[in-house]
Amino acid sequence: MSATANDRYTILYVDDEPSNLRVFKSTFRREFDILLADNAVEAVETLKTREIDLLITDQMMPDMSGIELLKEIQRLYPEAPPSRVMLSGYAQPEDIDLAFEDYKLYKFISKPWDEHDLKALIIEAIKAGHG
Amino acid sequence: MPIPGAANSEPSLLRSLIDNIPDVVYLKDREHRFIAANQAAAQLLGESSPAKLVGKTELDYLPRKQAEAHHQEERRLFETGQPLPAKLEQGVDPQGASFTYLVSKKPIRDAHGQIVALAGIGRDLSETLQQQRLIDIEREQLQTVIDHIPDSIYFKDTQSRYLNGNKAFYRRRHARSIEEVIGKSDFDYFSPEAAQSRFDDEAAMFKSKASITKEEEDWDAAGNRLTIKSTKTPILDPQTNEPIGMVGISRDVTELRKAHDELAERNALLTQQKQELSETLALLQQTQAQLVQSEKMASLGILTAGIAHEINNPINFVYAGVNSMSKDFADVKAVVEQVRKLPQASDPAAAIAQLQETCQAVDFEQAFEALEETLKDIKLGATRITEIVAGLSKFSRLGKEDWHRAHLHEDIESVLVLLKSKCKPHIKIVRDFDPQLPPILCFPGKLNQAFMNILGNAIDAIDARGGDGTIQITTRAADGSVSLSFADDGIGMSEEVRDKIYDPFFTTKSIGKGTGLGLAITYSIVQDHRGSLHLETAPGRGSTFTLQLPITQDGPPPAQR
Repeated sequence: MSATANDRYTILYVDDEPSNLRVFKSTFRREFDILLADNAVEAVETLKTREIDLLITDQMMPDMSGIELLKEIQRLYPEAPPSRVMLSGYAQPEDIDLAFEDYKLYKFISKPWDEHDLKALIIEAIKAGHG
Repeated sequence: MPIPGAANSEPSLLRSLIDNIPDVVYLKDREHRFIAANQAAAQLLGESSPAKLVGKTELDYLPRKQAEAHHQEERRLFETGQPLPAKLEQGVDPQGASFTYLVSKKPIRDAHGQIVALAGIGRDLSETLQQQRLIDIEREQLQTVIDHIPDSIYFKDTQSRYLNGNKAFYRRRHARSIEEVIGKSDFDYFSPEAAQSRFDDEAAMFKSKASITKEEEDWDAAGNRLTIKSTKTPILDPQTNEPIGMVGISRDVTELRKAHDELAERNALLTQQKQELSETLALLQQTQAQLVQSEKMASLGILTAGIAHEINNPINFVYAGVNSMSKDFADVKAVVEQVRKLPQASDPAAAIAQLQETCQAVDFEQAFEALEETLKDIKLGATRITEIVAGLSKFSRLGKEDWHRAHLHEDIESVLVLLKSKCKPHIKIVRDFDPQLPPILCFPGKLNQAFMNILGNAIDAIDARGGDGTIQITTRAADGSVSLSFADDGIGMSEEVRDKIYDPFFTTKSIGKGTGLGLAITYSIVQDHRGSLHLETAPGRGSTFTLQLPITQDGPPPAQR
């Protein structure tokens, strides 16, 4: 692991399923700094205090869905995080076009994910976000 | 050789013979006087013996006019010498009974050829005439009957020529009397083909000597085509048993035939309509089966998205979890390898220091903890996948399309598992289940489809209103039946909507979201179970569907849908 702490990217992953959060962190904690939130409200709180390179969110969550979270973030912090990815068990929802255009959604990925594919996408999304 | 005594006995023998014949026999001289007579002649003229007639004439016995007429004829006989042809003589005898005799008179000549007398022989015809008269009456009666029978009755010879027939017969041939048609045949009145056909039929009948019955064509006086039914019977010579002719009876069955044809036509039409109806019914049933199938597929389609989410999350723990475990395991393994070598270490202190370094480098604590956590997550994922698949197969109840005893709570739960993703974030399911609810005899797969339709609508009704909602499911055991109610706090229904909800293809959902068949099918499923479906609803006050289902079923199962 050659990257220093400063080189490491920080990812915030939001999912109402604790198992998804844990497995995600176990897989990627070696390459990235992983922050977790099991609901949208907590995710917004985390964004207040931490600098995030990439937000990955589930779509189907109680209280506030992934799209609603993206909308909220867009309202509160239009510039941060620079890149946003949605990770869902659903097929891509019909009303997601709005999220791509207005909420800076970079990509929609279906569960289950593959480590190598997801890692490649994470890096690609972060690079795209940082321009 | 003469017989002795014969010369004397012969005249008396002849006398006795002549007296004993029933015919009247007499001899008259040229003056019409009786010379001799037999007993019958004496009796006729009222004398006790023939001898008393001798020397008398008919003027002594018969009316003068009649007697003189006879005498005049006799004079002609005497003049011409020609016998008088047989002639009927009628009169009234002294006893007052009328008589009729057929009388013939012949001249009698002497040795010189001179006519000296006449011989008269009269045959009594009274009885014969009486019989003849009776026969005539009978014949007249018969003729009257035959003439007034509306059927044509006719006689033909063996060459099928007309011999006789009744009024109906000759009138049908446009004749005013039977004489006009006698000697003619069908060839004079019908087309050659029709006549030949009849001729052939009759020839066959003569040959077989058995009567035939056949429908033929004829025409009435106005030229209208008629259908006649003819029965033709050969008349056999009683001695030779060979046909000498035939009798035919033809009945006009035009109306009957017309009625029969109309009936047959109507019958054919009815049969055809029945055929068409049953074809239409078969088509409808096929269409219904297809619709039911497409409704199943449609609800399955709506479900698939939800189920995919439900199943993809646990698959994700398992799939990504196994991957992360192998990474964590690699880290832990590196530490474990060093621990194993520790007892053999030449410099234990250095070895321990290196071990601590490795632990730090691989973040042993985190990896070790994660291993345990991920193992739990994988187990959780596997369990959830198993549950969902079990729920799915329970829902569909594959291969169980017949009566089955089922615990409805389990079935409702299996439906809820499938609907979980559809209602998870915002809809609360409240279960008020009767723990004493008995299992019921049902088609579980079909009932699940009904539950799915009702609960799916409940979720849609809440979503249509927006915001959070609650669905309360209440089960109760009653006497011989169970009741299940599904109450939502969604938008509810107007009276107008409520009246139509069981109509096929009626839907309030947008195109592509609903088939309009869900509740129609639900209704028929409940009917198949001999149960009832009750709805309470009002706009803005939610809807409550209550199913009442019998615990057991009597009689044969309803037709499979």
